Amino acid sequence: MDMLSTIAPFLLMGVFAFFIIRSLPTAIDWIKNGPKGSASEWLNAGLLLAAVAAFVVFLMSLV
Amino acid sequence: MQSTGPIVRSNESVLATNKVLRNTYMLLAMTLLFSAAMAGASMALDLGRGVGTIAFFASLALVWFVLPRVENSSAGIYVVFAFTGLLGLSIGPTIEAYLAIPNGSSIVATAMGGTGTIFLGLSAYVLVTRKDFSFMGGFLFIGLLVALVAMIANIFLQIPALSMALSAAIVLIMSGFILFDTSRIINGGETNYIRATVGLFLSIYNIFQGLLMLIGMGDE
Repeated sequence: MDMLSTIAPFLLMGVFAFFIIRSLPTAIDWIKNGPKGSASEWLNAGLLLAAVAAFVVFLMSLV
Repeated sequence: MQSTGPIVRSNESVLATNKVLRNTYMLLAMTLLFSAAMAGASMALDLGRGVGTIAFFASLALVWFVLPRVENSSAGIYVVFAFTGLLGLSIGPTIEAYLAIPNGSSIVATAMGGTGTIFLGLSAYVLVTRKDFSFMGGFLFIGLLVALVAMIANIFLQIPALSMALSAAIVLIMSGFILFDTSRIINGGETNYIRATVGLFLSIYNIFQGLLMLIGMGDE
């Protein structure tokens, strides 16, 4: 178990790096060729995410 | 008769979309219950972090290498259950560690309630307004990759403030993915309910983990 806890961070780093390398082309393709949102659509999405952030702050103040 | 063609096709398209949506939510509900049961089993059997770590890596192997081969067949459902069960096993020791600290049960319950509220709220918004959030795809993918790079750095740096900032970023990115995935289902961009379930499950799982860390750190 000690050996596992020693190598786990390196394994995790490898997994993250693998995921990044694997997903980067998809991400770039989405940026270049994916649908583009208008300013009002981005504002709408931003407001929703701001509401989530405010809710998380509220949850943190509860406990 | 010719003019009814597009209407018939449109109705078929709506029916197909509703079927994907219904199947996705049904499978998501079952996998969430199964995952919670596995997390409970992991705590009851006191499996520990070692088994949790192995389960986590095994679940990643399943979703990256096995699921893409079977996602269009019924075998995909078994793989989704295996994947979510392993993630449940992997989060069990983390929940157990939180439950062991003072006020821990309150932290876990708040994170669970918060995750449910965020998921239901954002899903309801997309389902009612039927707005298309597919334009967020590139932003969310890049945001996730940047967060992962910062996580790799923090594995070695071990900065608590960066951990907290990353947890907050993950909660927001995964909330964005709930908007993105749900709008893709209802607008016909996602027609495979197995893939849709895995996407939504991962968002819920990551939001729960992020909230656990944020609320736990806030409590300290």
